Amino acid sequence: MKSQKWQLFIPFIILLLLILVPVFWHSPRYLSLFNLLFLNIILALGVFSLWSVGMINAAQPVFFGLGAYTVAILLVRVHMPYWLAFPIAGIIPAAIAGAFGFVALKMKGAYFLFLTIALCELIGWIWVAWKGLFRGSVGFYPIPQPEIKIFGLKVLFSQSLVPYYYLALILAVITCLFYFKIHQSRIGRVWESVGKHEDLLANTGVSVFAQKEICFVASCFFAGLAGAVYAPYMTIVSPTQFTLWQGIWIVLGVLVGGIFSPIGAIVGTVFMAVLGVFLTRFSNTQPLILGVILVFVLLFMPSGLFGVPGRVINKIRDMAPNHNIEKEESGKRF
Amino acid sequence: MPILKIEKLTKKFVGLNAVTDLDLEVNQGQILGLIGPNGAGKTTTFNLISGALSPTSGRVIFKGKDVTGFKTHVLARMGLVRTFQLATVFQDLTVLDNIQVALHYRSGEGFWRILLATPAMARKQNARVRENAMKLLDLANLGQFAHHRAGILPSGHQKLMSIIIALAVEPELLLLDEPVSGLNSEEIDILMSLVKTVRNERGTGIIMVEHNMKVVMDTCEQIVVINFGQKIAEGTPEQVSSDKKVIEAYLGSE
Repeated sequence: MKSQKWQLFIPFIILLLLILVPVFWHSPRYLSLFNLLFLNIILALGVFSLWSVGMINAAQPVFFGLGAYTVAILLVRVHMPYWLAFPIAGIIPAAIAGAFGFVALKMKGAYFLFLTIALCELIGWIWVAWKGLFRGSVGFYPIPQPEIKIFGLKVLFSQSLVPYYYLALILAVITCLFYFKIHQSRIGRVWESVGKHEDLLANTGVSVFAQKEICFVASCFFAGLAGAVYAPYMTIVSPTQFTLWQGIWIVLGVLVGGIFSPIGAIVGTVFMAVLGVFLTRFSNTQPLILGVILVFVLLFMPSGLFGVPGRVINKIRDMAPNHNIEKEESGKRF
Repeated sequence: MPILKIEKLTKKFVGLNAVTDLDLEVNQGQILGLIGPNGAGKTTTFNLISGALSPTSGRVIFKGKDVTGFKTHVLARMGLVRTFQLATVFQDLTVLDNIQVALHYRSGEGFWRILLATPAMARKQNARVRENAMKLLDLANLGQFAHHRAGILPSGHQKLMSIIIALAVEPELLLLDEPVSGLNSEEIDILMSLVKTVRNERGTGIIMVEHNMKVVMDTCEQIVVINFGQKIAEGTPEQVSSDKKVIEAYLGSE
């Protein structure tokens, strides 16, 4: 129990620090870095979650983009208030994920990955080609700012990045709560078994396909909501913002951080964000550096950055039980 | 009414007739052995019954209902459960989690109920499932390993666990795929006595694919012998062990 309280302490401190960041750092550059980090964490958690059921999704930016486009279309064309457009921006990508998943999730992991790559290209093409709905490569600009009142006071989204900071932070915290709760519960164990022992799990009465669909739809729902924050924040939505390359970055972030826990996804995403900031000077060699990192992680840290402590603990844990089993079998019958 | 009836079950692959016109019946509480040389089609038959493969032709009738082509998890929910020879347990989960996962469907608590549970509700839910899981583990004296990673357990324990996992699903028909392969005689006794307990207390019908002839002859009331995908003999252990065709299949002809 004591260790559990310890564990809750750290996230609380981090959350407190994050809440205080805008108080001390007004610079739009830093605030926008945090904004994008929060949104990327939401995307990464979804990719991590789907990874636990054995599927790798390189098309997370597509669902992110579908959420952004939904908000853009609803705000600009239909003049819908933001608070109504926001949940719809989660539901539409989720529904599309459900339909896509109905076909794609029945395939083996590698084929699913290829299909997500294809989906990236397909949706990207539709955004450009279907000019009537999506306004082509020009996209939507400007996007009206959300009009939200808290305690009767209007929140000034148009004047500063601070409201966006808190909006993104709140959404990220809610997403974290969702994923931590699910993955610490029995559902998390069931999903891990979907990824690794499908046939055995099916024989306990669990519909493996249904679990994959639930996981996929949830991850794309949150991706869509993140897109709903992104659209007015950037004031512009266009096809070039949502690419396969970004999808690969997200996947790499989850891999590097560790695919065994939601914390891994967060750690990996932060790592990739910090790396991205450093690499902006070396944009030509980005692919090379990413490749080197990927090979390094796969060779030396297959459990990811956050998996390293876990592996050490497992090694210690594995040593002790063996010792007990020897004692039991020599001493008494089981 | 037999718990399981197979009628003219056939599975053809390109260039290979894996199973041809197989007829088989198992009654409640009966232990039936399915034996035959390697490659005879025993595992294919299990795959056909449990929904892992769909038959080319023929019918599978479970509890009087035609379930041909039904998916594995649907059959498991109806009470038709299969164990595997090699993938016995969820390797990376703890022993306790293995059983809790196996109990997941029967617990009736799906995604939404777990997501929206308050901490108090969650504690109650978890306590209930944990209690049921521990009770099941205690049947095989595995409770002491509850928090160990299942993968580090020796194969004898893992095989026992696979029976417990199947038991958690409340089976009315159990397909055991080589349950005692790789076990020493002590472990075999313990596992088979667990299997018999399941049969005695639940009335579960059992089909056992096994190569260990002593176990088959001692435990099975009825034996079906197949070779090259076809039934070549059926009867009691005495009848089958003296059947010329069976001896030929295993030892070759004079």
